[in-house]
Amino acid sequence: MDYTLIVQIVIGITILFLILFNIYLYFNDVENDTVNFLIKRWAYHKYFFLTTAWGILGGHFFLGTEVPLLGPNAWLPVVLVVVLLIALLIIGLKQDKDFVMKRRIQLLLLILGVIYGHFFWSQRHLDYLDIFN
Amino acid sequence: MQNLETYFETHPKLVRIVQYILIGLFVVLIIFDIILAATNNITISEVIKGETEKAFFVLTYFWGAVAINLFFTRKSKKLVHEVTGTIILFSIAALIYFLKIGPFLIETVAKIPNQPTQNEIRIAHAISMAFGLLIGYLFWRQDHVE
Repeated sequence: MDYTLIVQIVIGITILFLILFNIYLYFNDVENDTVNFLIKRWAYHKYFFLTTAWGILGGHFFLGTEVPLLGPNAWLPVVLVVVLLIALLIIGLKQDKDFVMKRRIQLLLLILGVIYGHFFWSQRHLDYLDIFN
Repeated sequence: MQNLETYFETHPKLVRIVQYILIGLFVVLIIFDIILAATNNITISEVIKGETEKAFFVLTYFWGAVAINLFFTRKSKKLVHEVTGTIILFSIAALIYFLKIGPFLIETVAKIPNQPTQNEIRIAHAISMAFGLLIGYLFWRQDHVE
């Protein structure tokens, strides 16, 4: 059964929900409670793995090389993403409670994520066997 | 940081609720995607890639703007008020969608108009990402964290 429509609806509803929820959070009585504000706060303190994760998603969805650098196994790039993000999370958790990430390193983390997604977790990878036969 | 401490003392409940909702949503999406992949169905990644291959490019543009909004803060003065910036962001997105800037971009970049190569599609996406980053940079940044 083709799940494309279902997945499209799930994505659409998720995005719509986030937008509407955020509008409510922006205009309610409480300040600084929007989704954007919270994620910014997380990323600038201990959870800067989020920045790299967003970069990886960009490289993965929109870019992507054709030559699979990690070989034929489709799960390996995914496992590496998880390992990489957990490593960044652990580094973040080890920081002091007053730690604030530098903006330029934040940018670097984003770019490194895009590079990873583009080269190692591409959706345009050609079938391994086709290239090497 | 001082203000943030006081803030969380006075408004702990709502913020905690928002955090739980976000984390819950994220976990549900990941599980959903794993199940899709494991049962050999189309995944979220493939649908998003499919949508952007239809060349509307709105998602790509939003990726860039959201990247700046979440992760590249503003230390200087605002160019426009946040609400104005959000309206500009969405107006441009609507323009991209209804004027079919996406297909137009691909036609422009491709040597053979109806047969863009993978590389040409990637270049068009990269342009769209850069454009999203630019609009985010100008109109949609958050205040820097102390």
